[in-house]
Amino acid sequence: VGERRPGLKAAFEDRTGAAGLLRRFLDEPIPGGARWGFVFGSVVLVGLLLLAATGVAMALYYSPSTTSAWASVHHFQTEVTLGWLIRGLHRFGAHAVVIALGLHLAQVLLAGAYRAPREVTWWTGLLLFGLVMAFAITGFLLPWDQEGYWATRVTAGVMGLAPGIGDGLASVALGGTEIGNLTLTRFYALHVVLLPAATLALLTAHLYLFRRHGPTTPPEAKARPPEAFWPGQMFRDAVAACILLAVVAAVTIVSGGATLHAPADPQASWLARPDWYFRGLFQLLKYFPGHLEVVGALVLPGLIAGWLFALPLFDRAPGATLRRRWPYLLPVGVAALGYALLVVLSYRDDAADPAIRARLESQRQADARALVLAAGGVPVDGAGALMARDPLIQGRSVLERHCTETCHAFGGPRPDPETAAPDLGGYMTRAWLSDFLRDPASDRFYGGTAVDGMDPVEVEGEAFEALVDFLMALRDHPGVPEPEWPESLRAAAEASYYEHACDDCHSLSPDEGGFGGPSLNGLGSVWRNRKLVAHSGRGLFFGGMAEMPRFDERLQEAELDAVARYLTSLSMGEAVLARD
Amino acid sequence: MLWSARMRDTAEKLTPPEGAAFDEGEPAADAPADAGRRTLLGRASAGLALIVAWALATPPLVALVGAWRRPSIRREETWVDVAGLDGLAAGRPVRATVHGTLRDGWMRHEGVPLGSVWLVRGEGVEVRALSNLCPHLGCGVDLIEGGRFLCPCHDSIFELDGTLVSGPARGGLPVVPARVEGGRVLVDATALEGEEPS
Repeated sequence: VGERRPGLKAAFEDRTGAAGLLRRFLDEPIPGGARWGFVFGSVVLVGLLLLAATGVAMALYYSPSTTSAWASVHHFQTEVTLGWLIRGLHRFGAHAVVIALGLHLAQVLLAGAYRAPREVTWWTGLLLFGLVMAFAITGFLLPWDQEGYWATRVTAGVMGLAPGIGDGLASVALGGTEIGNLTLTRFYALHVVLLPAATLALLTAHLYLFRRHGPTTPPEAKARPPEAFWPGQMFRDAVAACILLAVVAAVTIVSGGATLHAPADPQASWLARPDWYFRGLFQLLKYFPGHLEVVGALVLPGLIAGWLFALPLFDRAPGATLRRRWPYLLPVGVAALGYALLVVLSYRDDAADPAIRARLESQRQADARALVLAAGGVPVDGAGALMARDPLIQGRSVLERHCTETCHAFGGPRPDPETAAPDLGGYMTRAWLSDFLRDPASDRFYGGTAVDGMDPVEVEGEAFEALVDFLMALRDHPGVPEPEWPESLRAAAEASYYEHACDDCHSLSPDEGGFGGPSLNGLGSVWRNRKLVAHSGRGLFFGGMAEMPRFDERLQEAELDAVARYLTSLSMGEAVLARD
Repeated sequence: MLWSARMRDTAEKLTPPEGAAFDEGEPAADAPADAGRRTLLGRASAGLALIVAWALATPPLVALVGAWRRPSIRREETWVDVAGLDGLAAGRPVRATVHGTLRDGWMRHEGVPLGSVWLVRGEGVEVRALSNLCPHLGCGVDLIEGGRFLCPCHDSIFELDGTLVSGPARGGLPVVPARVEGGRVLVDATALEGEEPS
C-alpha cells in the first residue's frame, strides 16, 4: 500500500482516512457549476444544527413535569446567562427552518428534482418535512405555558377526529385522556431523542441519495463544465448559512426573545393561537361545520401530502421542462396559495376583532404578572399554583367571569348604558373619584342603577381637591403608609366634607349607613370592598336599592378576598395584593 | 509560491494534509487568475464556516459554563435560629438541623433542612458551631464514645473543639459562623461548609 511518509499528519491520515473522506465530500462535481439556487438544502441543514445546539443548551436546564416545566423555562429565560437569547434562537431558528424548507421544496418542485431517478430522495425529504412539523408540535408544549397547553389540546382534538382510531391515537400521544406529566415526558422524549434520531437517519439517507444522483441542473446550464463543490458552492452555502444565522439572531434580539406566556391553567380559557406556519390549518378549521371537521383537519392536508408523495409516479414523461409539467404542479401551487391566503385571513380576522384584541391584552397582563410572581423562585407546587393563589390573577379572572361582560365595564367598551353598573376602570383612584363626584349619575357611574340620586358636587379649585383629599384619606391598609398632610389641611378637608353636606346622606360610621347613601367608612380599603362585593344590600351600604347580587353566596371566600384586593390594588397599588 | 507547490506535490502523492490542500485542488488549477479566485473563495468559505461553527458551538458552551459564574443552587437566608441556649451543656455537643430557604434552580423551597451543625457550648454562654462536613472529602461526621467526632468514610477523628486527632483530613472541622441572641443560637446558613479554623 505504497510508501509511508513519516510525520504525525500522514500517520493520522493513514490510520483514519479523514482528510481523504473530507476531500471526497468537498470535491463533489456539480454539473453546470455552482449556483445560488442550490443553497437551500444546506441552509436547512445549518438551521437544524442551530436547533440541535440551542436545544442541547436548553436541555441542560429543562425539567419535564407539570409543576416544574414552566418554572425551569422561566429560570432559563430570566436567570441563566444569555438564556433568553438561546431560547429565542431556538424558537426563531425553528421558524427559519420551516421557511428554508418551504423554499427548498419549492425549488425542488420547480426544477423537477423529484422525478426519476430521485424519487426516494424526494420521499425522504417529505418525511423530513413531516418530522419538522412533529418537532414543532412537541416543542410547543414543553414550556408548559398557556399557549402551548391549549394548542396541544387542539392538536389532540384534531388527532381524535381520525375515524375509528382517533381516540386511541390521541391517548397514545398524550399518555392518557388529559394533558399532564406523561404528556410532557412523552413530548420531551420525542422532541429530544426519537425525532432527532429519526431526523439524523433520514437526513443521512437524503444526503447519500443526493450524492448518488447529484443536483438537478437547469437545462440552460447543461452546457457549462462541472465544478467541484469546493470552493465555489461551499462559498455560496456558507454565505447563505451566515445570512440565516444573522437574520435569526437579529429577529431574536430585536423582539427580545421568545415569549413565555403565563403557566398552563386548565381551568381558565385562553385564546390560543398556533405559530404562523400552522395558522392556515387553524383558519381552515373555522370553515367546516362540526360533522365535516375531519375534512378540514385531516382529509385536505392528507390529500395534499398524498399528492406530493405520488408526484414522481405521475410525472414520468421524459423532458423535464416546467412547461410540460405544470398540470402536476398546479394542485400544489393552488394549495400553497390557498394556505398563504388562510394565514393572512387568520391574522386579519384577529386584528379586526376588538374583543380579541382586548383578550390578547389581558393575556399579556397575565404573562407579565407571571414573570413578576416567579421572580424569586417558584414554590414546590409549581407556577400554576403560584398564579392561582395570586389575588391579582384570581381577582381579575373572577371579575371577568361574573361582571365585566354583563354589568361593569372596565375602562373599555360598556354594556347597555340603561342597566350598566359603574365602570370599574381605575376604581377609587383620584381621577375616578373626581370624575364620579362631578357627575355621579352619568352612564359611566351610577346612571344605569337604582342608586342614581346623588347630586353632582359643584365646587371648583382647592375646595374640591380638599374634598377629594378627605375621601382618599378614609382608606387604610396595614403596611401602607397614610398620606402625610398638615393638620390645617386635614381640618380644611374635613370642613369641606361637612360644608358640602355630604353627611346629609352619607355616614362615616362602621356600623350604619347614612340617609339614603352608603357609609363611607374605610372608603377604598380592601376590607370595605370585600364587604361591598359580598353584600352591597346590607344597611351599611345601599340597602334595598342594591341591585348587585350577593357575591358571598356565589364566590368562595378566597375568591371574594381576591376580588377585593384586586379592586383595591387599582388605587392603592400592588402592596395590598400580599396576603399574610 | 512554495506553499502551493508543496501542496500540489502532496496532492499528487494522495496523502494531503487536512483542509489546506483544497485551496489548490487539482482539476481547475489551469489559469492563474482562476487559481487566485479559487484561493480567495476557499479562504472566504473557510472563514465563514468558522463563523457558523462558532455560532453553533457557543449556546451549549455558554449554558454549561454559565453556572460557573452564577451558581443556580444556593441558600438564601443568612442567620437561622437552630437551638435554644438552655438545651446546650458544656462538653456535650448537639447536632442541630439548619432549616431555611433553598433556591434550587427555578424552585424555592422554604423551611427545608439545609444541613446540620454541631453546637459545642463552652463554659459560659459562648457557643461554637462546627461544620458537620469532614474537611477531607465532605462526609458527615458522627459523635463517638469518648467525646470525639469520627468521619465514617475515611476515619478522620476530631476533638470536640474541632481539632484533628488523626486520619487523612488536612485540618480540623471547619467553623460555621454562629452567635447567641436572646437565649437562641443563630448560625449563618449560607456558610454551612464553614471556614478554616483559625
